[in-house]
Amino acid sequence: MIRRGGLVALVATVALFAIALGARRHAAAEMNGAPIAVGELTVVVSKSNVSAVTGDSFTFTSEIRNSGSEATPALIANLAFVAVDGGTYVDPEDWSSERTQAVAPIATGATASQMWTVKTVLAGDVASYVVVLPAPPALVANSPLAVSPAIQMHVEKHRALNPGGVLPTVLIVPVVLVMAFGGMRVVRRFV
Amino acid sequence: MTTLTPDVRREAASQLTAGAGGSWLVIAGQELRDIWLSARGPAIVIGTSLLLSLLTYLAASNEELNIIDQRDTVNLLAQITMALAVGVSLLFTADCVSGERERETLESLLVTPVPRGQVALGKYLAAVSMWPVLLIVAIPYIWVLREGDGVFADAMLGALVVGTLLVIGFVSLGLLVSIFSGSNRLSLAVAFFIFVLLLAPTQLPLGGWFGDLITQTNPMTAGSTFLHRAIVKEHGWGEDLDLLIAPAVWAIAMTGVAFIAAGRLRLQGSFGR
Amino acid sequence: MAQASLAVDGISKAFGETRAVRGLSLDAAPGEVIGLLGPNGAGKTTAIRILTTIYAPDSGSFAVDGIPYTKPSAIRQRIGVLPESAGYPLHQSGEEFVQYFARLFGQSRKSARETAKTLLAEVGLAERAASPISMYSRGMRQRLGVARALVNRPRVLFLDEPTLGLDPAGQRQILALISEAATERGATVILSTHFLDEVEEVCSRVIILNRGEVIAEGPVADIKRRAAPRTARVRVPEENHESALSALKRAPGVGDAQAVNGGRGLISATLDCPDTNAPIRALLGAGIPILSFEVEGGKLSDAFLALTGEAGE
Repeated sequence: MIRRGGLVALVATVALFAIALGARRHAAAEMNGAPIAVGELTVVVSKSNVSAVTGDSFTFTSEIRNSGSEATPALIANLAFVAVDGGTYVDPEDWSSERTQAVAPIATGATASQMWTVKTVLAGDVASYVVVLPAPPALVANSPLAVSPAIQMHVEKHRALNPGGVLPTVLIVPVVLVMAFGGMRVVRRFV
Repeated sequence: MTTLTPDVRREAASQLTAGAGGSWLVIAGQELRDIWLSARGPAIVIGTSLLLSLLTYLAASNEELNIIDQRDTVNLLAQITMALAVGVSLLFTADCVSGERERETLESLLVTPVPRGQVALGKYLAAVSMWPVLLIVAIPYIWVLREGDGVFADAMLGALVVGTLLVIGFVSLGLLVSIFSGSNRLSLAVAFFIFVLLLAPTQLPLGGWFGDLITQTNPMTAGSTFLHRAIVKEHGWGEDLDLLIAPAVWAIAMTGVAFIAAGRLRLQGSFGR
Repeated sequence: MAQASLAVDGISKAFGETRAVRGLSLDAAPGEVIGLLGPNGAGKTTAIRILTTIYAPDSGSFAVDGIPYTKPSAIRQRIGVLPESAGYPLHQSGEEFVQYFARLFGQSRKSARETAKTLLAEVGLAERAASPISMYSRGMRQRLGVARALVNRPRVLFLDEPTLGLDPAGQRQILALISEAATERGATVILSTHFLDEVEEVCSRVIILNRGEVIAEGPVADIKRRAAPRTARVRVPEENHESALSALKRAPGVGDAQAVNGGRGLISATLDCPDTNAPIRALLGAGIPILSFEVEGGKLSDAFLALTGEAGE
């Protein structure tokens, strides 16, 4: 009888502990106003290494999987860049014109994909990664982030001789003007 | 001894009434020849085209690298063309009277029956001629950089309106300074100083009530801001018409004052002899 | 009586404390050439600038061809001016330059071209008409300036130092043009100059200014006679000294006769008439031999120096 009673007590304790844990989470969440789901997110990207020359552009996709037991709140996915060679100056808005995307809440077990375009504007070694965080109002001070693996970019310098097709114009216009004014002087001399 | 044939009598009669009507055209024609058939005008135009070529090439390279936006590029070219035209036209008129004083050619002009106002008008028109030429030179560069007809039209029309108002105002300023300056050096220095004084705020970040005041009242900043908003921000024309007030007032006021002062055109200048 | 082409009545002009011209009056008839003389700073250029409507007079009045000074534009149609410091646009050709001014005086393009050709031929620049002025010598530029001043067939021509810096041949050419302008075109010429020789050569009348005021005016001969009378210096044998002295004192046309250097045969006698031989006739008539005879003075330069008390050319 005692053995049976002890087993019941043990199970009850575990159950209570689980409930308490769950309640505590709920309580904490209720304290902050939203459920915490980011910790169960994984972010993967479709590229890992990119070799390019300056002026190239490429696209890749990121995929956010919700492995948690609850749906995520609305999320923000942000594309970040960092120079890993210590010498290259990276201005993110030069490398990608759209670096922030809103992601709708992801159901349990579901994934959401985002397409990103990157333009390799400077030579050097640059890493890029996607960071996912909850969108306000779910975003709080210590909200954990989900981060993708880095895409390693190695960019070599390449200068286009005729960027944007302007070379003929920039050469021809001054030449035409010189010929026009020179011609005027010649005609005047002989008329 | 000259025989008084009907032709001679007619010519003599025309001379007695000479100087009233179209003398400003004769003077403008001669001044235009002096600018465009000498090395002065062509050198400025060719120099400007070389500068625009360099800027266009650099801008296109940067644009390809996404460092600069295409509309920003077009705006840059339009602003530089405008500033160059205003500066050059101003310096031409700053030389037009005080320079003749120094070259000792003014007295011969003053003893003709041409009214002083027409002398000023002829020189004024010749100085203004630089603006349309430089604007036309800028066309191929802006055309080749545009990625849509919208930005080309915005840029050309905006530059035409703003640039015309500014050039009219600054050419009048140059004329005014030249009429009163006793030396050519003084005239050019004063004109250039005022130009730089008004141009400098266009390169500075202007914020707060004082910045807004400068933007609204300085014809250069007002015009530059209008053009920037029309090209880069794609504002409609009606949105920023208040920014055209300062350039318009500048053009009208300076022209009025300059031509009133032209009646006081004298052999000697009033200042800095 | 024909209307005076230039009538000036007491014009004055001051610049601050400096009175540049004081009470200048003159009347000039068509075809007259009037010399305007004076040392530097006498007011010649200021006077010309008043009469050419560059400056307004502080007081007094003048009229050109009957047109009062209050109508400067109408006056400018009737005058031609070669200023003292006349600059030229060096990149223009002589022909373009004269044509331009012809057009400013209202001539049509065709007429201006004809006028330029004619005038440049008259001043001897026909062959260099198409050359840029930068390639003209100083003399050529002065002739170009005269051509420009004649472009409107002026009633009155003002020339301020037109021969300055020219060689004798160049001076001759300009003086010939001035004479021609007066005689053949009937223009009144006001010639401001330092060169007294050319005044004597072409001017019928002369006005001498000093410190803004007219100190002498009239025909050249009168001024010379009044300001610098001619003197005859005669040398006779010592023994004839006294008889020569009394013969000269009695001679008609001879003014005062005096011994020079204590009376050792050298006598100085002022001449009251144009006849320089009067003393010679008097001495020969008295049977007195003449060892030497010379006439001094009577030059405009002497008159000028005497009147202005300064060195002239």
